[in-house]
Amino acid sequence: MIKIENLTKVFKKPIRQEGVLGMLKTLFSAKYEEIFAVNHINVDIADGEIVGYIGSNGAGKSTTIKMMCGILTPTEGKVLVDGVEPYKNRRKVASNIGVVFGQKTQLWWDIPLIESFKVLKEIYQISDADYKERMDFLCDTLGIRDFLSQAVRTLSLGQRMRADLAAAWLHNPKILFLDEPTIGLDVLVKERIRQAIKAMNAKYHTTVILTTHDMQDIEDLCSRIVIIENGGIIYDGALSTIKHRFGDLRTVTVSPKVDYTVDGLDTFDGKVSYEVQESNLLIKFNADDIAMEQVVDYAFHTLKSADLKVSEITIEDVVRSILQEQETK
Amino acid sequence: MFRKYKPFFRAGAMETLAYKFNIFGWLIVSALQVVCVFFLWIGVYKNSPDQIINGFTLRDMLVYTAFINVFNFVTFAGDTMYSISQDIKNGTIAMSFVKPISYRVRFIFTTLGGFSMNMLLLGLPAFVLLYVVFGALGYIVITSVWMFLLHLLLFVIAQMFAVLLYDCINYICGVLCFYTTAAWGMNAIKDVLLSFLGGTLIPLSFFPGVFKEIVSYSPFAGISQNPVLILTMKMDVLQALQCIALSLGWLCAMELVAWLIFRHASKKVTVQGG
Repeated sequence: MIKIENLTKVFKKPIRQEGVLGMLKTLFSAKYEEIFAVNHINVDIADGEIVGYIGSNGAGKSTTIKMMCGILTPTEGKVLVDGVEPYKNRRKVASNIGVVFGQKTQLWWDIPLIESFKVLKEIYQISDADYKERMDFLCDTLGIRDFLSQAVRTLSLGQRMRADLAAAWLHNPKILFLDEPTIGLDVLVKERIRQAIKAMNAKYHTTVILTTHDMQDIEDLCSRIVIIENGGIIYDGALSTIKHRFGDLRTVTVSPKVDYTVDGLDTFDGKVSYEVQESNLLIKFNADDIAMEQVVDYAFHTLKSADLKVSEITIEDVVRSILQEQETK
Repeated sequence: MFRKYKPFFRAGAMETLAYKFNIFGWLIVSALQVVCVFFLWIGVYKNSPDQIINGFTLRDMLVYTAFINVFNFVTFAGDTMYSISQDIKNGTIAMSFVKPISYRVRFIFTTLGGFSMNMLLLGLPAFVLLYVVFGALGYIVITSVWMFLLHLLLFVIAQMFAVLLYDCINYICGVLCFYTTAAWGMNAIKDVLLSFLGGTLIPLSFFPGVFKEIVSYSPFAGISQNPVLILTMKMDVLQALQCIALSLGWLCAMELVAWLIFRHASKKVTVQGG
C-alpha cells in the first residue's frame, strides 16, 4: 500500500548571527545549515495495517507523514502510495487518503459542523447513500450527533478532535494518517477515538498510520511500531517483539512482614534484583531466566508478604530505554 | 468536473454577504473621493483652452470617474492573495494540499462567488442609478437601444475577464508569498501598479507617447479601464472585441505563469508549526 524508499528531507536553516550587526550581515550573506529531518528511511506498509509511528519531539515523524500525504516534497528518495508519488500528483492521491493533524483543524471554523461535512461530501463527490451510511457509522462510533448543529469554534477540544477524525474519514480513504490525534484529550475521549479507529480498520479495512506520544494508544491499536530518532529508523517491527526486546521483564511488588536488608536477600544467582520503594519491596526479574513460581514462593514464604502485585514491563518503559540507549550512543 | 467547486463559490458569496457593511464603508469613502476628483476635473477643464482633452469632454470624464470607482470596487473585492498568505502563515495550507481539488480553481470559484454577490448588491444598483442620473442630465446619450444592449453584453464579458485577470494577479502575488512571506509589501506594490496602470487615477490616454501604447496593451488596462470604456460607449464594438481578445490572451499567459510558479513554489513549501 505504502512504500517508502530511501526517503530524505533536508531543511535549509539560515545561520543567524546575534545582535543588530549580525542580523544585518545575514541580510546580505545568508549561510545555511543543512538539517536532515528525515535521513534515508525505508518502510513498507501493507494494506489494513495499523502502524504506530513514534519518536521524540522533532525526530522527524511529522515530516515523514507530510511527505506521505504529499504536502512536502522529499529532497531525495520517494514515497509510493498505491503506486503514485503523492507530492507529484496531489489530487489523485488525495481521494485515497484522510489526514488528521492534532494541532490543526480542517473544519470550517465559523459554520455549523454539519455544513463542513456537507462541503466535504461535495468536494469528494460522495453519493447520498454512502454519505448517509458513513454519517450513521461516524455518529455511532464517535458520538458526534449531539453537536452537529454547533459552529466549530464553539466545540470543546475533545468534540473538535472527534469531528476532525470524522471529517478525515468521511470519504472512506484507504489510508488514514493521524498525527497526534489524542493530544490534550481526556481519558474518555481518547478511548472513544481509539474505538473508532479500531472500528474503521475492522469494518472498512482502513490502513492507519498513527503518530503519538501516548503509549496507551500504541498498545491498544497498533500491531506494528516504527521508532524514529534523529531522522533515522531505529526500530521497525511487531509490538509483541519490542516488548520483549529486553526480555520478559516483570516486577513483583510485595510488602514483607519480616525484617530484611536488601543485601541479605536471595538473588537466585543474580537473576533477581531488589529495590525498596517506601514500605514496599520491588522484585525485578526476567521471566525467561527464572520461573515465576520461584519468586512468588520466596515472597510468600520467606518474606511472609501478605500482599503481592505482578506487573509486566510497559511499552513506555521499553521505548524510554530504546531512546535512552540511542542518546548515549 | 467543476461541480465539486460549488461549495467554494457559495462560500465566496456568503462571505461577501457576511461582510456587507464593507459596502457601506466603501460608499462613504468612495463618494467623497469621487466628489473630490469631480471638482479636480472641473477645475482642469475650466482652465484648459480645449473642450476635449485626449478624447474626453468634461462630461465624459465625470461619467468615467463615477463608473470606474463603482466597478473597481466590484473587481477588487476578491481577497485571494490574503487567503493564500494566511494559509501559509497559519500552516493551514497543509489541509488544502490533501484535498482532491486544485488550489487555483478553488480560488477562482471563491472569487466568482464574491463577485456575483457584489455585482448584485452594488454593481447592478449603482449601474442603474448612474445611468438614469447621467442619462437624465444628458451626459450619456443612447442613440440606439440595440447598440446599448450590445455594449452591455460586451461589458459583462469584459468585466468577467477583468475579475479573472485580477484574481490571477492576486494568486501569483499570493504564491510568491511562499518565498517571501512578506504579504504586506507585495500587496502595496500590487495596489499601486493596478491603480496607476489600470487607469483608475487618470485614463490611460492621458499618458505620454510610447508609454501610452505600452500601457494600453498591458493586462492592467483590461482590469480597470476597458470595461468602463465599453460600458460608457467610448469604445466601438470592434475596439471592444479587440480589448476582450487581448484580455483573453493575457489571462491564458498569466494562468500559465501562475501554474509554473505554483509548481515550483509548492515544492519549496515548508509547513509552519506542528
